[in-house]
Amino acid sequence: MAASNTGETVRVIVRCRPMNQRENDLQSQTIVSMDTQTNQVMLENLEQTNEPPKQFTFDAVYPENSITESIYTDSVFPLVESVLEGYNATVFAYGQTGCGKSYTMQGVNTPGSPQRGIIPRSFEHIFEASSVAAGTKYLIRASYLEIYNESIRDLLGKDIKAALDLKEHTDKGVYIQNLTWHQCTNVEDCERLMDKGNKNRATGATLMNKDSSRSHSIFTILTEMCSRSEVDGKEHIRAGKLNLVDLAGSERQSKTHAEGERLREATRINLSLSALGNVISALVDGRSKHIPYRDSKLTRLLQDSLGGNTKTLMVAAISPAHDNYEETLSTLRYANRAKNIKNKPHINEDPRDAQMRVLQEEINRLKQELLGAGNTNRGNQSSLTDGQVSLFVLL
Amino acid sequence: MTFLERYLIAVDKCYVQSLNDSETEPYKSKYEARKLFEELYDVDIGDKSDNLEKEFQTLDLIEEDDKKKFIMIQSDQQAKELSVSKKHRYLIHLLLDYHIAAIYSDTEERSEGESRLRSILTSIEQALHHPLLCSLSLNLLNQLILIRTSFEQYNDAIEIAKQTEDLYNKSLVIEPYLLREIIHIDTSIQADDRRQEFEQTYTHTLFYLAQIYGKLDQKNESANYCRLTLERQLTMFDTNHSKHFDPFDWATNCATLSQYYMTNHDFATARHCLMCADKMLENVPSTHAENDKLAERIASFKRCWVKYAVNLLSDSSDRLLQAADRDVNPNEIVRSSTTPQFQFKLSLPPPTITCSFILDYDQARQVFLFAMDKIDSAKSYYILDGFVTDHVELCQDTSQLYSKLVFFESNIDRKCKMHKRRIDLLSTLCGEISEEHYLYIMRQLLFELGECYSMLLDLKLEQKNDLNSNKTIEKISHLTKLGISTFERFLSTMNDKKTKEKPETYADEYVRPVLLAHFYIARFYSKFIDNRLENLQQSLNQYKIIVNYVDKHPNSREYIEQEYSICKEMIDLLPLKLEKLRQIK
Repeated sequence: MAASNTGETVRVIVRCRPMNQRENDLQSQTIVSMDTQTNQVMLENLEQTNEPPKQFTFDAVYPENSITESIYTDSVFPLVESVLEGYNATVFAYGQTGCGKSYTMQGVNTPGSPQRGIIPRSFEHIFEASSVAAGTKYLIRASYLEIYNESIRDLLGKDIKAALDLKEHTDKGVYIQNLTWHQCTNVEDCERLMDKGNKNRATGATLMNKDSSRSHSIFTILTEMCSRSEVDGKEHIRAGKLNLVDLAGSERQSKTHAEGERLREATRINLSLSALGNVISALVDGRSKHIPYRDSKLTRLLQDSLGGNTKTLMVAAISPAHDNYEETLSTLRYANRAKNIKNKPHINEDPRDAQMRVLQEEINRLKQELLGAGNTNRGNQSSLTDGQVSLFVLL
Repeated sequence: MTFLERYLIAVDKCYVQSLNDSETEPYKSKYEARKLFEELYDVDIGDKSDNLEKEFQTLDLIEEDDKKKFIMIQSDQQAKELSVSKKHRYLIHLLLDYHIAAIYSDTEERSEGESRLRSILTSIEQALHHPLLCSLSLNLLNQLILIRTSFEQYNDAIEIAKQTEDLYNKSLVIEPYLLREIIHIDTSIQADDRRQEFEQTYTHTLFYLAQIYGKLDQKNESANYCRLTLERQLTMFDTNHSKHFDPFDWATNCATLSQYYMTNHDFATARHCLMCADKMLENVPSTHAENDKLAERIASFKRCWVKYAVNLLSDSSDRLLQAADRDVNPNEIVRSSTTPQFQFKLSLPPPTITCSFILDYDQARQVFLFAMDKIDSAKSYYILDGFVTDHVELCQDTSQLYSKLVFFESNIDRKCKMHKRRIDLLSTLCGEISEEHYLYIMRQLLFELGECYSMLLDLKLEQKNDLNSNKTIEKISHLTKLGISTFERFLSTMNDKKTKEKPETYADEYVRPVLLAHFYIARFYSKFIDNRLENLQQSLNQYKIIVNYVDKHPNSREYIEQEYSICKEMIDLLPLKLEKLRQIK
């Protein structure tokens, strides 16, 4: 999938982490193979040996021996650069727990380490730019929120249990009411905020009896750059937003905690009748419809970051081990669907058959007038004058 | 602790406590539960009751193909296995086997789980609908459906579901015991409650079928099973099992289902679903915490009604056009059913909107007024400041309604007024929201606004033929200018945010709207009455832009085939026309 020049599509990359200690001890088999030439991932199912491996193609694939540095250079660097130019960009990280998401996103936190994660690299990138840019003042602020069960909470707020409202302002766009923003002057500030937010995420989970890995979180860095223009001597402000989105794993969200109700986990089919809405929504297909089912606060929130000169990247993390087959398959399928996320409302046009017919008639008349009249110029002088009137009407 | 108590602890661990297992040890409880079930194998069951003896009079245990199997016999028949306790013990083992097999399946050893389940099935399949075996059978078949589906063997799963359906139908004349009653029949349970659990399990079967058919893209089947699921859920409402019933969810799902039937042109069924959804929402208690959720949902259902109206008008006009094309009596084409495909058991008020296809202006107006009422009401919740996206969509629906109404209106003056309303609405919105933050919405609005100018212009030109006043000429010039600037603004929204440059290449989904915008601009320029030469030159330029783009991007031609050929013709003809105009000058 070539990225179009408008940059409005989602670039999807898949990274496979190496086997970990536990898997090596258990002598787990590798079921993932990647072809970096064709950007394909092949997934074997050891339970069904007569089945061919499942194949997926992405914008880029990074096998077990890859380093985060190359992922950053290939895929993330241009995104962060665009933020510094005043555009918005979003990086989605997706993957089940234990499959390498934090390995790629956070990584080894030693400056200079080839496996240092995408997030600390992004911070560094931004602050490096701000320190060398002469004549431009930078104001960098960050916010950190969590979306759980369509409820939004401020992970850096005073009351981490308070649910915040998502609103749309005619001028300012989509915003979260009362979300706190915190100024950052260096990489450490950002990392501190992220740590604090992560701790609050875990605390909140215990307090509210939920699993933090089932929520989405969004860490946003707002970079406002003020510089004096050479052209008109005035001060211009550019603002770029970098959203770092940690997506919840999807399968486990199908559980609900109704007491006494017997629920059984099984892959790929939802058991809880609360998923009935999803099943029905999936049937509705048409231009004019309204589904009163789900808000999807995540989509609303990222609306202005999912298109219109913005760059979007999804990083899907998978494990090579055979006992993660289900999770890996689920992740690859999710990432595959993400390739098609465009979130672009179709521009509806009114039916134009009648109009087209009229147009064709006009052309015919014009042809008649111009080509037919060529040989009988003088004779048609008067009729040309009349013809001109009617052409005003037609053309 | 009794056997039953130990069994119930294992069940609780397996199905309820496991929900709280951590992400890093997701099967901890299940493994522990499996151990507990395995331990119960050799434990003595304890005393037996008379009820059990009675039930076992119709259930015999035989040996066939080296396997013990249950079969049904008449109560007065001589059984092969005379010991009730032997039969009972075997049945309990099957029950334990069932849970263990299910745990294998749940902990990603599906093949193991499936073969164990099939083994149990062999032992009970000749007596599936015996009161003692019914629940076990149903649960077991459900498990097999899940496993087959997880292997994407959807047709296998459907076959098993047919067995389930057969089992369910046979169960209607008996009283199936609960799973745990295989161990000990509970005389304190009401027959009603006992039935409830069985019914709920079967509802799950139907729900799985809805999903399977969804995966097979057999939407009608899927929708039907969704409907059956809703129907069965409804039976819990109004009874003493209503604590399992959530009117809010039910209403929402019903409203969503209406949208399916609506997009399939079945307005009778869609209307019925929406009316049921509205009715059910009345049963949602408006407690303090839920107030806003309820208010939002009520407003949301109104939007479903609006879409209903838009679709009804749209389909109606389509069908009338088809009738005209095929030279058929409109009444033939537009005949529609007024009976819904099914009816939920809710008492409904009389409908306030038709479900038949519209034939004339008066009928269209009724639908229009109905929808406008819903829109106004919904807008009081979805106010612009706070709900930009929703509010704008409601305005777009308004514009669509006017546009559909125009079709049925024959008087040009009134048509013009309707387009004027659309223009006022859309242009006001364009001035009120930030282009930067609502880029997609802005593009849609601008495009539609441009189309409105074009349609209004065409109508004015028709009028000009009859009236030919200076005022009309002024109006035409004014509209033309507005049309051009609107489409130009539309095109500018595609430009690079920073450099303001036009893109070299447009994304696939924008190619047609962009080229159409140029096409419209070309046409607008040609409608100017003054400065014909300059304006026609502009028109020609626009046609050239279109042709240049398509020639540079051959893949884009499919999006604009018809218009492209017209553009090419114009590029040939217009220079000749321009030459003529220059000569006249």
